[in-house]
Amino acid sequence: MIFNTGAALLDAIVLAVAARETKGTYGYKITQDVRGAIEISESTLYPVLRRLMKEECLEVYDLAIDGRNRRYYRITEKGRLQLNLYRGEWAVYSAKISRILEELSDEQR
Amino acid sequence: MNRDEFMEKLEYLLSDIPEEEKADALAYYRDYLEEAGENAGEVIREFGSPERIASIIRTELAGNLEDGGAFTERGYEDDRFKEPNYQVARRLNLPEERGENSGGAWKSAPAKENRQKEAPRTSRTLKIVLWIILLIAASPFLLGAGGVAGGMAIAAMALLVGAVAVLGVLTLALMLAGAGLCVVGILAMLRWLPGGILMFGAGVVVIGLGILSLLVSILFYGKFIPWLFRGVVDIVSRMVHGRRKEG
Repeated sequence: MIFNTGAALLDAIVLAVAARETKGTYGYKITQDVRGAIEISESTLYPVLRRLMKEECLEVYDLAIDGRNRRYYRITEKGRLQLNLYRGEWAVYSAKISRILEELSDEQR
Repeated sequence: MNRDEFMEKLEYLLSDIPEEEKADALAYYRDYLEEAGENAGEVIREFGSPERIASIIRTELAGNLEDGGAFTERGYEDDRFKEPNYQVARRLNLPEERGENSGGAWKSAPAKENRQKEAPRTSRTLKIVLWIILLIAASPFLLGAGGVAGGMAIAAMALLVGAVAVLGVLTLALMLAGAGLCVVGILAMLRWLPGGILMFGAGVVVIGLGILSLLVSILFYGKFIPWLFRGVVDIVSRMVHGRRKEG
């Protein structure tokens, strides 16, 4: 990706990925899902998940899988509100950018 | 570095942070590597080093992680956590990357300037001097050739003037002769009719030839001479322009 974007977009993507699973999802899977949309390194998400937890947009719980605990991240009610805010902002923003980038000149029309 | 070595080193590096934070971070990264499974080696390579991960965790705890991190064309990055051995694929098709490959954009600009200065290798003065030397050296030949060319030009002129004069005179002569023959023919008819008619007929034919000659001279004077004149003027002006460009 050649466009630089702010940390808010990363928050939005992480929340959207977490919201896809009602029972929540875990760090490795979130990272791989986010990497489906934007380029992030394997080490990027821990601080982001921590911050979203602190902001009470995500909550964690441990689930025993294959004889060990796997930490699940689940979106909270506050997180959903935040995600809806991001979605609205993104719809407006991306529509504007798309309109101006896809605009044709008079000759092309 | 395998998974256990990585975790051991990370735990050691985080030994001075609060126990709860440390457990949380270690659990996350242990989980992460476990989930990565056979990709764990690659993930550890991308982590860079335990030192790098530890510094990310510490900075986040200090609450100022967001100060340095940013999305870039290579994804989310934080310059503070870059290491010499932490390499990601670079986009080599970006203009600034290409500039770096060829020695930096700031370097290539002066180089271009130098090239432009070098371009006019031969000086104008030198060129003129060389032309003069060439003219002096070739003067005998030029004079000879000039003489021949001049003679030919004069001959052509004479021919043209002659043609102009002859055509005019011929037309006039034919007309007069024809008219004369007609008059003589009419007069001769009074004495001997067949001979007079013959002479009159010859006069008419000669007048016809005169008219033909007149048409030819109209074409000649009206079309050919202006065309020739335009052609000569064109050639001369082209020579003058050529010399101007050279000079």
